[in-house]
Amino acid sequence: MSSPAIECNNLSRWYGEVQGLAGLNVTLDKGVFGLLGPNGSGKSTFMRLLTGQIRASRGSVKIFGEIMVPGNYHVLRHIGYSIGEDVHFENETAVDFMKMLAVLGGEHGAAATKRAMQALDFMGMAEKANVRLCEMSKGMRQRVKVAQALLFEPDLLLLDEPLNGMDPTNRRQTIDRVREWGESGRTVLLASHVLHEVESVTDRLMMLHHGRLLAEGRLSDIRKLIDRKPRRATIKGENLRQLISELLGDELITGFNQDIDGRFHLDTFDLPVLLERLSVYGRSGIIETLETDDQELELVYSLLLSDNA
Amino acid sequence: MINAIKSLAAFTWNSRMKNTGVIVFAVIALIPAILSFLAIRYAVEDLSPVVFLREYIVPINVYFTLPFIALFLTLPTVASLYEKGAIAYIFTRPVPRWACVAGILVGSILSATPLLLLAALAPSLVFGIFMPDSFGEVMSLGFMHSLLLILSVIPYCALCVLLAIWSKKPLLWAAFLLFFWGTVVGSLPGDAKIWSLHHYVMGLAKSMCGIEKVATGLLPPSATPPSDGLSVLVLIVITVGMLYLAQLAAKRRDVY
Repeated sequence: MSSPAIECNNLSRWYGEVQGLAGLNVTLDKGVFGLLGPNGSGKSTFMRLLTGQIRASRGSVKIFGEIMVPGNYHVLRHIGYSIGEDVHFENETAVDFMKMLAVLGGEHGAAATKRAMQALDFMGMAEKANVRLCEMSKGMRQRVKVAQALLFEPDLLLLDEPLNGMDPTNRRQTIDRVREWGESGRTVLLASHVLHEVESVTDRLMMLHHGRLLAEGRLSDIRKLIDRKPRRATIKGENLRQLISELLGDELITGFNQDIDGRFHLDTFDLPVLLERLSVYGRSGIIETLETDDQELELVYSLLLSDNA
Repeated sequence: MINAIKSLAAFTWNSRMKNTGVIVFAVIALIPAILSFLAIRYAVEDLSPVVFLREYIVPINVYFTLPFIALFLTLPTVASLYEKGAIAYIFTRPVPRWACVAGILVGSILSATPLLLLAALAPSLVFGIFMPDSFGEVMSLGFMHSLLLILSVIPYCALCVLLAIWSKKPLLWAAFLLFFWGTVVGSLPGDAKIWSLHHYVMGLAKSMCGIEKVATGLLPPSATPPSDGLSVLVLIVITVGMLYLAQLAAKRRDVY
C-alpha cells in the first residue's frame, strides 16, 4: 500500500451542540500508534469515523487513499476493528461468533472455521473456542474481540480500549500480540485512557482532549516533560511534623504545604523513593492516609494544557 | 454475498429461536388452537369446522397473530444490535449494507415461519383430531392458511426491519403502522383501504382460504378484493421498497 494508512483532513464531528472531534489533521503510516485521552476526549468518535460507522460533520478521512464514508465497504477489507464496548453476542460460542464475522468478510465453510480458529489461537483463545461468550470472563471476551479484529490479517488494526478488564497475564499477552502485529509492517492504532497501557505498546502517540489533538509525537518526549515537574504525595496523620522535617533534611521534598483539613501535600522529583519512605511510617501507624497524584494521564494533560495556554 | 446473507439469517434465527422468549411466541401462536378446542368443547351442535376456521381463526391470525409475531420477533433483534452497539461488528465488515439488512430480514422471516405454521396448522389439527370427518377439508384449509401467513409476514417483517433501523423508537411506529395502518385502515369501508397492506393480505385470504365474512363482524374483508396477482405484486413491491429504504437508513444512522 503506497498511500498512508490514515489521512485526516480537518476531520470534525458534532453531536448536536457537542463537539466530538474538532479539525483533526493527522497522517499515520506503518507502525503502532497510541491514541490517548480521557473518557469523552473523542477517541471512540475518531475510531467510528475511521470505520465508517458515523459521518464526518466536516472534513474527510482517507484509509489507504480511499475516502471513508458509511457504506463504503470496500475499504473495510483492509481494516480490523475491535470496538470499545463489550462483545454482546452473548449466546454465541467464540468460534461461532468468529465464523459469522469470517463469513461476512468473504470466507465460508471450512475456510471460515479455519480462519476463526487461527485468529483465536493467535490470541491464545483456541481452547475456549466452544465456550459461549456469556460464560467467559471480561478479559477473555476482550481477547475474542481483538481476535475478531485480526481475522483477515488487516493492514490497519484499530483497537478501542482493548486491555480493559484484562488480568495482568492476559494484558501482557495481548500487548505482545499487538506489538508483534505492528512490527510486521502494518499499522496499529490503540486507543486507551491509561498512559502506561499505551506506553507498554508503543512510543508514538496522539493525545486528544475535548475532541482536539493536544499533542502528537514520541512518548519519551512527554516523559521528559513529566520528569521536569515535581510529583505530589498527600498524607494525613498525627505528629507528622517530625517526619516532614526529616524528609526535608534529605532534600527529597522540594516543597510542602498543609491544607485546612490537616493534610500535608509533599512535592518531590523522586516519587517512588518518597513513597517507600512514607510506607515505613505508614506501617508504624503515624500516617493514616496516603494519596499520590499517580494519575499520570491527568498530569500529562495538565502539563500540556498549561504549556499550550 | 449470499453467504453473508445466510450467515446473518442464521444469527437472527439463533438470537430469536435459541431464546426462552420463543416460548411466549409459541403460546401466542397456540391461542387459535386453544380457541378451536374451546369451540369444540362448548360447541353448538351444528359447528362447522371449516366455517369456524374461515370466519374466526383465519381473521384472528391475520389481524392479531401475524402482526404480533412480525413485530415482536423482528424489532428486538435489530433494535438490540443498535442499542448495544453490536451492529458495529456487522457494519465494519466488507459487506454492503443491503446484504446485512437482507440477512436480518431473511432470518426474521425464517424465525416467524414455524410460529405461523403453528398458528395456522394447530387449529386445523385440533378440528381434525376431535372431528375426524372434517380432517381432509380442515387440513387443506390449514395449508392454505399457512401459505397465506408466510407470504404475508414477508412485507410485515420488512417494514419492521426498516422501522428498527430508521427509528430509535421502532415499537411505537411499528405498532401504529401494523395495527392501525394495517388492520384498521385496511378494513375501512370505501376506497381508503387500497393504501393499506392489509387490504391485499385480506384479498389473498379471501381467495386462498375462502373468507367471505368475519364471525365477529369487526373489520370485515372487502367485498371487492384485489386480484391475487395485484396482491402478490403489492406484497413484493412493499418488501423490496422497505428493504431499499432500510439499507439507506442503515447508511445514514450513526452507530454508537
